[in-house]
Amino acid sequence: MIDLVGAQVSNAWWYVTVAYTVILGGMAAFVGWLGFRLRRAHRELDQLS
Amino acid sequence: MTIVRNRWLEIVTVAIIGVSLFRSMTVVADVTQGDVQRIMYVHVPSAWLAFLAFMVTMVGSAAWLRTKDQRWDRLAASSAEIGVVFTGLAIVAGMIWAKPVWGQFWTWEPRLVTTALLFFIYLGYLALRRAVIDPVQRARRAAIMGIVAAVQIPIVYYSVNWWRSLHQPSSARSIDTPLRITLLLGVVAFTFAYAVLLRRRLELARLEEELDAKRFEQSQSVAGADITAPSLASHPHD
Amino acid sequence: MTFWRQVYEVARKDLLVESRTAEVALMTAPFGAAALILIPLAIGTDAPLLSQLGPGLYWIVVLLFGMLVILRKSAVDGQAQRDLVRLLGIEPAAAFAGATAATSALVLFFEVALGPILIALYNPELRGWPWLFVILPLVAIGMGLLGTIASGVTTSIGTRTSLTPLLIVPLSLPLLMGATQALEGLRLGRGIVPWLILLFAVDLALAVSGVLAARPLEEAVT
Repeated sequence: MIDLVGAQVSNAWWYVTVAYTVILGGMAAFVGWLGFRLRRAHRELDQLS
Repeated sequence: MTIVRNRWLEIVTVAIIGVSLFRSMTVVADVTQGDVQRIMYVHVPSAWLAFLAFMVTMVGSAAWLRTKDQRWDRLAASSAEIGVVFTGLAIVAGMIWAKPVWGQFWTWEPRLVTTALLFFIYLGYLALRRAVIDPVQRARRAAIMGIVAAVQIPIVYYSVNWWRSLHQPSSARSIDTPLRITLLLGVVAFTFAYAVLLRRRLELARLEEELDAKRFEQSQSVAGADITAPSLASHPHD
Repeated sequence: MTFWRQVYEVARKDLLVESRTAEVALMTAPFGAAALILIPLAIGTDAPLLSQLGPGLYWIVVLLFGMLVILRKSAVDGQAQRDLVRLLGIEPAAAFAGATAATSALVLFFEVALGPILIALYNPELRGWPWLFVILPLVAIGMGLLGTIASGVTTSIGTRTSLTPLLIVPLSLPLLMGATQALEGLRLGRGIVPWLILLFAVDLALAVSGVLAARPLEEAVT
């Protein structure tokens, strides 16, 4: 097993913040993109019919 | 009524994610790794969501080949897209965790390599889908690729596993109860998130299919109208 | 016509077309050889280093440049050829096996063509070299199978030259692991049987998937 070099890293919360921002930000971006595509599809369907 | 039910799932999901996040932040820190270990509470659920999504893609692919029902194709496609997004997120979060704990962003560990390859395999799957225009051909080719990929993935994993293994043992077994509960809560929260996202993505897939069919229909009718009644029939709404 | 006769005829047709263009022999193989010459100039020409890295680089060149063997023009049937194969009543599984046999043979040719260049330029250790008679074909068959399956799903797609490698390369990892580790095992005088079993298992899994997918795919191209 690899050494746990940073067993008690001092700036741990910094890494935690970055990781959570990436995951939650990524989820939010995906939700936003999905919402955008849904609205666009609805709009285009309305225009066509 | 369906709208009310839709909203319920979303409200419950947001609530569970909120509770899960609160608990991830407040639960007692891991003895060996300290606070960095809190990254696991989103990294592991993201990876779980991605694997779940790819399993659903495989099931959808197989079901399409059996039934030729486009709903299965939409399920496979929608799930694959969500899977790719969360594979990417899981990899990035894992790298951020690895930097302080292992001292480097990346190690050539079987699960890491397999996950990275999964990302590219399903990126290829989505690219294949984009490249084929006819819906039935797209479904057929994507289903075949989805199944071939699913058969190969365990072999990919074992081939790297034989080669080397230095990952910490699967985290759920080796940690204290409160931490394990937090991790399980995260997994439950992300599973709910998957359900919400999948439903929306399926709705989008259905709308796009409808849109394509409508466009095709209109292009047909316009082409015909141009010959029979050029200026009047082709633009009824103008 | 029996099944195997059909396989033979399809493979022969592919190889005949290939022999006219000589794409693999005159274009892809020299290209791969040129790559083997360029690599040391980038990573350093230190003899022990090259001897150690040579086999790994060889497999990378075989795998990545081998994509050009898979994408070669003679692997792509036009509508006329497909109609003819269909009218002749060739079974989809036989057509798949035949195309795989042709591609595998050409990948094997590519591997063999690059071998002497690797030995000359990198001076790798050749302990246990007779095992190459097993390893090279197993990898070639694996690439032929993967290539034929991926070519099947990317037929008549405008971007197939870019899409096919993206579909193949991540899935070819077990072939790379099996090939490199078998050679490494030979070099260190360790057992290589697990790696041969891995290569064999990959080929078997791909062959089964490919044969099962052949009929649905045949429906797809019409």
